[in-house]
Amino acid sequence: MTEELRSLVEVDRLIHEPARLMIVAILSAVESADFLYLQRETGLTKGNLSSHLTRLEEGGYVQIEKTYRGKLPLTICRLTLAGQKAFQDYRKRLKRFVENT
Amino acid sequence: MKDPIDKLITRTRQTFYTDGLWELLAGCISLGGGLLLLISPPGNSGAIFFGTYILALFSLYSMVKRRLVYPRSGYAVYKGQGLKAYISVILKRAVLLTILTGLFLILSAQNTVMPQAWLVLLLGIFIGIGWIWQGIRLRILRLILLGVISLLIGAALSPFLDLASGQTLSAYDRISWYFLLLGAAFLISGGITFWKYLRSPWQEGDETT
Repeated sequence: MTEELRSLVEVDRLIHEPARLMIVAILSAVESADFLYLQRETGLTKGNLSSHLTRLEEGGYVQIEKTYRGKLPLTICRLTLAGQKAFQDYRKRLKRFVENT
Repeated sequence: MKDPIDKLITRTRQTFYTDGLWELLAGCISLGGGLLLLISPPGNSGAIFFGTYILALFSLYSMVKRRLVYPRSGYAVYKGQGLKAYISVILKRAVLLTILTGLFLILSAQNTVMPQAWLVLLLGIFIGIGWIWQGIRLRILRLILLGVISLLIGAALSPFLDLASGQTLSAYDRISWYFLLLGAAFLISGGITFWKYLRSPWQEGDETT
């Protein structure tokens, strides 16, 4: 197996999934965003977004804070340092692969 | 060529300007500042009044965001709103301001009659470059146009055109008119964008998951 192919095989599967990649990319561009913002920007359904966020939280890539604005529930999401690093690594790896093929 | 992830990141950054409220705020500040400069004689400090006016505008901005924008688009804290980002912006602006001040001093040395009159041109360049840079970075055409408008207003009010019109304005009046005109441009741009934003279809969202 060539080094390029190995680099692609070893890509972070948690981020590689398209919906999660979209969430992480959006969160990488902001300090934090609420659930509604992510839903609007990704176009995912509530349940779908929620399950992907949970996966990312379990992986330590996203920090989720449940709070209230007045009486309305507010779910604030932000990328953790591990999440930022994983996203940068993922992009580097993919870029390298595309450049070498 | 930009990859899809870059495009998504740029689109996310663009959402800060989607509602046009930031332009409306900038327009109100610029218009208020221009009016204050125009009606209050030089030396009369309206700083307290202007400070209160800006505070009131920011409160209004937050209120409109909370009531009209967050229920539609959701809530996000953008990068560039933190302390580190503000320091970086201030440093970049300071470098640009130093270059422009140097240019101003050179122009002043060559125009002993009315050196301050050139200040409006530098102001137009300084603010114009800022908006053009932001527009190019975020790929938002109207921000680039606002930057160009700033450059044009600065040039139109500078002593360049005095020979053609035969009129001369004081440096103070030039700066007042610059802020008034720029404020009007921002209000028009922000107003149209906000109106379009409010007219766009949306569904009430709730957070319960």
